[in-house]
Amino acid sequence: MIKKLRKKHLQIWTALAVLLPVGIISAWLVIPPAAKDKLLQPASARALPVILKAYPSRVGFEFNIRTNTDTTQFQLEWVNNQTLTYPTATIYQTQLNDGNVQHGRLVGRIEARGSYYFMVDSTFKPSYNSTYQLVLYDFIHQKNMDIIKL
Amino acid sequence: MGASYLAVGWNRQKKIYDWLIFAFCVLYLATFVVLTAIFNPDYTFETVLIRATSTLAVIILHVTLSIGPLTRINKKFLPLLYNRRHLGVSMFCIILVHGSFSILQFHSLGNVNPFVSLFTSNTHFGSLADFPFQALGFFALIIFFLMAITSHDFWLHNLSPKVWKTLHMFVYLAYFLVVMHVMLGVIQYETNPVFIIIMLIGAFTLIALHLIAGTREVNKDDVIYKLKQDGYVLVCDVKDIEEDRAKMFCLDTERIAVYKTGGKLFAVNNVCKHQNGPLGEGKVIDGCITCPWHGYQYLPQNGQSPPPFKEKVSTYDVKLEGTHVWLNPKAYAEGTERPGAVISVVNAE
Amino acid sequence: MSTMTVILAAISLYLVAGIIFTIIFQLKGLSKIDEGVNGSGWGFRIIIIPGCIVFWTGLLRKWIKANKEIIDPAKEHA
Repeated sequence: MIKKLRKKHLQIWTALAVLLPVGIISAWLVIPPAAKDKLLQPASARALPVILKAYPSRVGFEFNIRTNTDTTQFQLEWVNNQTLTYPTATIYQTQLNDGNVQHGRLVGRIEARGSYYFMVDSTFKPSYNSTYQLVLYDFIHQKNMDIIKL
Repeated sequence: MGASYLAVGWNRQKKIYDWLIFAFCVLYLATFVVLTAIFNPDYTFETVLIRATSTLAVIILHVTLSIGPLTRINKKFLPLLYNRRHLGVSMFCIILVHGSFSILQFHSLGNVNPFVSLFTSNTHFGSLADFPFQALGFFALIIFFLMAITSHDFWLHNLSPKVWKTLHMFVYLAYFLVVMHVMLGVIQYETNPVFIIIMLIGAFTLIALHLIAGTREVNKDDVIYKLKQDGYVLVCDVKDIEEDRAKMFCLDTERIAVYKTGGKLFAVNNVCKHQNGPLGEGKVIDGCITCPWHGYQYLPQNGQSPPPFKEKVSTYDVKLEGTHVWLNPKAYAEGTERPGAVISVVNAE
Repeated sequence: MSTMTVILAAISLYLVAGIIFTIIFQLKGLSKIDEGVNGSGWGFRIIIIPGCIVFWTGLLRKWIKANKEIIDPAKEHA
């Protein structure tokens, strides 16, 4: 290595000694509180026995609201009939006519073909005057892929 | 070295080195796949492959970047440097798998060109949490790609050493991009603390190693030699130099290596013609000064590579007064024969 | 969106030109710009192909320069 290059290496690493910690720490600070990977349901998750409502199937997927025999627990059953064209999809529950997922609640994340089961609360109970909707949101592309009234 | 090019100048050491890299990669990937199958059975094959290759590449990148300063701190690490480019090219192949599968999985299922999708699907450049981290990884991949395809010595000669060195210095930018790609990508979506621990330890180790080694080297260049007469500068005592080894002195713009061999002292320019390796940190093997980086050789008395090779370095005058070594920083034309300084019994005592 | 498409098209065009250049260069030019190429094997020629496709403009400049020196050797002494 020549003298000039030795000096340049040292200068670059002096700069990196500042930039790397700043970069790492600021990225650490903005980690969202609900990490999305936790919501991928294990394959062993069981479906509750009763289907409360079966929603009309859409392109590539369908979903049902399930419950137990005494209607105390609710479950969102999500079935990907084919691999979605956006493999990094999450499901949000938002207020009707509010498409902004930041205002809503994260229900779960779906990935490849198959069935997913997410335990949900009574706001998912199907009714004609439900004020909620489901938003299928692609978090890599940051785009709403589908919105369905509950 | 002036003879014809080979795809790879294979020798026993390089073969062992490459087999070790290969064995480590295979072992790592297999372990990763098996562990994921046990602990996260619901992950798809693509996800496992993307994660296995990314973590492996991050580990190799850290090892590769630490070799340089480690050899400065301890010469025992020199065998790692010898074939460092193979380590770099291996890493590139691994991240190419990572990048290709990521683009396939995340961007090729839609009706937009995957590369257009990569850059246009997320444009939150103003937000840290939602920053398009995939673009960061893509640019790092481009830098590693350019480095990998120019790793053969043919490119060092034909792009000119200056352009080549500058291009390969971009590895530090690539490293920064990789760190931010991980921090703004998987770490935002994952709860597993392993990733963040690897990145933190890695970054701080590299910063520490480079700052320690770098400061040491720059300080060596800045030593001021005060005693001067008739153009000669007093640099050291003859006993300070070991037989068949050298000491280096930066008197002017560049280091000069003063070698002690066969009862004489010889001075040559420290910079190897191949990749600017430090000749003064090598040793005399078979009567030739041998560069510690890739084994290029020069005769101590005239700085010429033995035939059929054609490399030449500058030579300098060196003289002995008592046990004091005096060095003249005025360079002779590359390959000029110099008599050297005879070490008499009196000097040696 | 359209800017990205234009950039992508420009890069593709550059690389296609690089592929065409590399075919001709490997046949005719390579041995002219670097004497180390003489006597080198197939492995070496294959290993430099990606670099030739990307850095073809630099190699073309070297090739033109090497050709001029062969035609006009007196220029070297000027």
